[in-house]
Amino acid sequence: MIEIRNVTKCYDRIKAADNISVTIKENTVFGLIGTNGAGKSTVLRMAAGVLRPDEGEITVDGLPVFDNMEAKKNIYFIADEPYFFANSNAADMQKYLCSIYPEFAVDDFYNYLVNFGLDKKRKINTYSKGMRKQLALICGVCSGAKYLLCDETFDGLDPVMRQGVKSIFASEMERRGLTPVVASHNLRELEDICDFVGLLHKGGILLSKDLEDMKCNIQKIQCVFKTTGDEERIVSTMDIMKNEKRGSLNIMTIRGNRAEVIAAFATVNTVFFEALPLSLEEIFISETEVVGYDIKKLILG
Amino acid sequence: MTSKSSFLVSMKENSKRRLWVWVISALGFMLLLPLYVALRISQIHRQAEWTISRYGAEMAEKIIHEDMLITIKDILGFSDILFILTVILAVISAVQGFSWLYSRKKIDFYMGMPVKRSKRFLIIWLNGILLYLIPHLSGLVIGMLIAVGNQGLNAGTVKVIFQALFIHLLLYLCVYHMAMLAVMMTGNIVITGMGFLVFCLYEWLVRDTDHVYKSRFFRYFTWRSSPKNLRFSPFTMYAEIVSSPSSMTGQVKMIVLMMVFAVLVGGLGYLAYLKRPAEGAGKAMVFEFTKPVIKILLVVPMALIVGELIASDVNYSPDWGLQRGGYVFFALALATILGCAVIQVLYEFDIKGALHQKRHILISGAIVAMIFCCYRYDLLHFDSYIPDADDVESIAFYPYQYDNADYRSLWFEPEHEDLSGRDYVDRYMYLTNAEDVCKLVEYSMEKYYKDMEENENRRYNSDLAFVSNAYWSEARITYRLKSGREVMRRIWIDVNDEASTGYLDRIIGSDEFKEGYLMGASDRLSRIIEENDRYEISAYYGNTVYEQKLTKPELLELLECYQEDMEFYNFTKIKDSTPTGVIRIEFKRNLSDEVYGRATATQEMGINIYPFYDNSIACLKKFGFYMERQVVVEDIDRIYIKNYNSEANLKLQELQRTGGAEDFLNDLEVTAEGFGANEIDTRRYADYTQKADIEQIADCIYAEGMLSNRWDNGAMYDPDYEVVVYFKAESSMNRTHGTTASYKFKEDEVPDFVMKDTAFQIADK
Repeated sequence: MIEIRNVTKCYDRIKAADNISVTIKENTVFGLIGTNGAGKSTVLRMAAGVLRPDEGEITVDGLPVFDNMEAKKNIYFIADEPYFFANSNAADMQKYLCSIYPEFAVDDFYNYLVNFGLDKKRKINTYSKGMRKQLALICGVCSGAKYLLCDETFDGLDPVMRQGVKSIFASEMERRGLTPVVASHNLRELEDICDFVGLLHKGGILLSKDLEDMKCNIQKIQCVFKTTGDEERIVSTMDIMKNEKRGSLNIMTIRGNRAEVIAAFATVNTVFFEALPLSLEEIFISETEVVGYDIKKLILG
Repeated sequence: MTSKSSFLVSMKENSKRRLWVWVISALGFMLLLPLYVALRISQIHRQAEWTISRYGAEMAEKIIHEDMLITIKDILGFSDILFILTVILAVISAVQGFSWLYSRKKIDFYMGMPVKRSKRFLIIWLNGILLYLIPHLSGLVIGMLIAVGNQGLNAGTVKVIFQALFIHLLLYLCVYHMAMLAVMMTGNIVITGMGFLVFCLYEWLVRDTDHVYKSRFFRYFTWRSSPKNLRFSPFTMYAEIVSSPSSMTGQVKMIVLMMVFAVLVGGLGYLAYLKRPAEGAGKAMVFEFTKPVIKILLVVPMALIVGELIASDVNYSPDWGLQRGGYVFFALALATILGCAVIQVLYEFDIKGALHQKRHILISGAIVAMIFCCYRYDLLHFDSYIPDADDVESIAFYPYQYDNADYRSLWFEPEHEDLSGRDYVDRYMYLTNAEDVCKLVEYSMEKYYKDMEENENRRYNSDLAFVSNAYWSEARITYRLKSGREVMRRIWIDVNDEASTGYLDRIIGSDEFKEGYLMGASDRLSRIIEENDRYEISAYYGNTVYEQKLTKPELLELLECYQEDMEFYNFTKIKDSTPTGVIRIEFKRNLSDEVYGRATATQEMGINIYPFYDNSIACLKKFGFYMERQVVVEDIDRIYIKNYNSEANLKLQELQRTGGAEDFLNDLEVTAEGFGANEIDTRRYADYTQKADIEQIADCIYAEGMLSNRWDNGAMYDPDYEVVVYFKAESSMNRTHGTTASYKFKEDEVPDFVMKDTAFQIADK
């Protein structure tokens, strides 16, 4: 488990991370969402032990991470612009990483290279940007580190590749309890990968929740009430986050689990009733609007 | 714990990342160096034929072998090529090895890895040393193999080569660590380069600033010719080691200093590495707190140097006048502002940031003003300070060039051949009569100051008459205080002044002065002559024209007599006398086994013999070397005398300026050789061939070397007269010395008939 407690980091008097507290549980895919300059890279670099927090503490499995080899052994950090040695190829990188990570999975590394269509002999500086990100991900996955910190690694990956990476994550999570932490400024790119999400804004964390919990606890209902009394009864009994009216059609975002909500609607008369699936984007919009933020401006642009 | 294999793998990996540095190192040491050795050897072989024809086969073989040894030692020992390669590689290796700290990408990669900082440092550091040491050693081995193939190697050469390798490695470590520290403190290569230059030059900048300001504002400031203050530069330490191959103690001291320097700077570099924040990449200065400190530390001496340049341009100094201070203050202020602005622009990489951090400009300006005032007004009383006689343990009193013998050094020190008179006096003179010296200093300073003031007033007030009979002679004094401190002062003494003469008689007449100033006055010289096994010593007595060789026993006996004569030595007696001759001692050292080839180094020293040295003169008479006159009349064919008539010349020039004697001037014989078209030739010549004339002149002339400029304002030659003695063709002097010899008349000792014969008569004209 990675625990980030009240962490603050400033660059020349500019606060890049402001009193952030978040817990990243094992065996989950944690998405760190935020606009450019929100502090995602800073948080990841601190979590990787590259930067020392000005205040607060970051621990990995209970060990402080900065300058602590025991903690760092469990981490592999892929920066937003991954670095590879000049004039090196994938095989060179493998050899180097083998000397650093004793559990580096060499066979898997070469298998993944084949699967992703990357030539192990080709110089990395001739790879495309996406190919370099793929290679960085393969290196990270094969390193044997428990926590894989990916900074904007999925940006620019095509959906097929994202799906491929997602399946690798799934299998590695199942096999050895890999915990990927993925930072991105694009919520839509993480939707199909993450199961736990933290939203960063202006150096602070707005919310951090389990995606399934969020999805289960928010329902989107489309219905037409028979009478205004029916509508009033639902409004008074349910925790309605948003109620949009289009003529007689009500589109409601309601907090609560699906069964409870359906049961509540069964007690009133409706001409039309439908429970709709919620996208991650819609969940975020609803959640952040409650706190007073216009999430569309923040992460959807 | 780091496993051995993991460490080796990391070393190997690091080497791969630094392949091009390895290639440069290998090219330099393993290709260039042996190639140069081979070229030089082939050069010697090419000259072999000529050497054989010149010296014969047997001798030539010896010479070629010796040449070979020296060449190999020259190239593979302390050579320029190795020095340059060492310095360049040290800088490249340090910057390349740690340049990953400039890049955020690389920092994220390396610092995200589970590798201890210390281990990563050790790997890069060690690799940086190996990439120098392995090719260097290999290059030396190749070079030595080439040398062995050409009989150019012996045990001595191998020893020197490995000694040089060790010293070069030390130099490499020092420079490597300096460059490493510069990398650790900065965030990009441009600023690192500047930082490295600052490390190399800062001590010089500060010392030079201090020196030029003291020289400008402190009238009594002096310094040693060979500074004993340690220089914190590995280059100076290296140069000291290379330039004094014979001084073992000096070498060991410098080696220890280099080691301390390397460890200290390396330690600082390592500490900076550990403390260096990852976010420093790309910034000018990594550590925020260093920004103002470094800015101020750089701006202050630079502004002071600019101020000094302007001060020197406008002659702003206590001796030249302090009227143009405005220029200097403006230069100081401008240099401070510009200096701060330039550094701030470098810090921010933005020209618009030039005037940011105005308080730095204010602080720098305040410090510059404070330091300037300290020198200008002697606020710290550096210049006006004279130690109290009670606080003084002993004194070294060095009257600059006093009693010098025909411009020859008065001193010789086997282990330190380049020892100056000042150094000698500092080493051997321990005057305990501090009271007289302190009083003389105080008195002379006061008198000199007054004289200067009057001089100053005269300069700005042409009506003011300035009459001074003073003759100022410079003396340098080192006070050794009881506290262990040393105070050095340079003063001017009026040697014509009665009170000064009184002090000087007591100081110069003391045994301690003689012991520390006149080498022959102690047993030191006799001991060197008796115990020497390193020098070929030759001694002569004469007046620089006539010279007789002294044997070793004769020299020792003469020195003994000289020591007895020392009892009568004091300032007034010397001032009133003219030496009759000089004992000249030559110390010849064979350099063939050192780096200079088949050469000899010769040092000379001289001891004046005065007419009141009765014992010495009796001894010289016993050996048959003493000459009553400065020349043997029987040897002279004729005497040619030239009189410049400078007084008449000045008078004529004055007439020419005022235009009062145009007709008279038109009639003058002009434009003799060596004179300009509008100048008047007042020179007159006389040739004497009659024995009576020659005898009279011979009684009054002195060999030129006997009458040089005198510190004590004693007897000097008349500059108007040139006396050329022509020797007879059959005389021994014609063979041993040459056809002529230059002589001089003492002032007021020119025979009347000579004056008459060579006078230029204005009135007659």
